[in-house]
Amino acid sequence: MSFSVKITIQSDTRYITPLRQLVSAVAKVVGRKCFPRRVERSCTLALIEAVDNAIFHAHHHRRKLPIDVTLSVKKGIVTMKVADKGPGMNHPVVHFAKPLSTKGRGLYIISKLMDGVKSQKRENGHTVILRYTI
Amino acid sequence: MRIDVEQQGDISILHCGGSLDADSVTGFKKVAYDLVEKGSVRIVIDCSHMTFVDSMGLGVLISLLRRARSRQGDVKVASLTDDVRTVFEITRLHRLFDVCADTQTACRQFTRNP
Repeated sequence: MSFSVKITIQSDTRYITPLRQLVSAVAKVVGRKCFPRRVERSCTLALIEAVDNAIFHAHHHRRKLPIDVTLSVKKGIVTMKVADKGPGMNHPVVHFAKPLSTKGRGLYIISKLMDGVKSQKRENGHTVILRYTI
Repeated sequence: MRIDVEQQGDISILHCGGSLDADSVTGFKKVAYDLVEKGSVRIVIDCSHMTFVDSMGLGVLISLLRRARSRQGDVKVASLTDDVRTVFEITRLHRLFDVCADTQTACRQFTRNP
C-alpha cells in the first residue's frame, strides 16, 4: 500500500511529539505488515533527529521559519524529507561523538538507522532525504 | 515529560514518564540539575516509562552524569525500554552509563560501591 503525507511546522520543539504521532498514524494506515514496529521506531527517531537539526542548526531556534516534513511509504520503501530554510551542510561529517560529549550524535544516529541519507541544497534552503527499505 | 523524585536514603530515583527529547530537556534539567546543586549526587534514572529519547535527551543525561561525577557521585539508568535501549546501544552509551535491570539493582550498586 502507498501512502504519502506532507505537513509544514514551525521551528518549535513542541511539534516533536505530534511528529512522532504522525509516524505512528502512518504505520497504522499502511498496516503493520508494510510498516512493522521496528521500522516505525527507526523512522521516528531518524525523523526527529533531522527535525531537531533543522530547528537548532538550520534555523537557530527562529520559531517562525517553516519546516516541511514529508513522509511516504511506497513499494516497501519509506522516504522522509525534511526541508528547511537554512544553508545546508557544506561537508556533512558523520562522526562518532566522544563518550562524554553532550552534542553531535544526531547525524550519527540517522546514518545508523537509515539505509540512505541525502543532502540537497535548494535555491532557498536545504532538504535532507532519509530512506529506509522495509 | 513527567518526573517523580523518590528518595531512598541519599539516592534520588527519578521516575521518568514520557519522552526525553528536545522539547522536554529543559524541564528535566530543572529537576535533575537542582538535585545535584543541593548535594544529591547519587541518581538513578528509572526509564521503565520512558517512551522515547533523542540525541538531545542523551545529551542532558550525559551532562547530568558529568555534573554528578564531578562531585564524586554517579548516575545510573534502570529499566530501559526497548526503544531507549536501542538508542543507547547505537550510540554506545550503554558502556558509559551503568545500565541496571531495575531501580533496586541500581540502588544496590550504589550501596556496594560507596
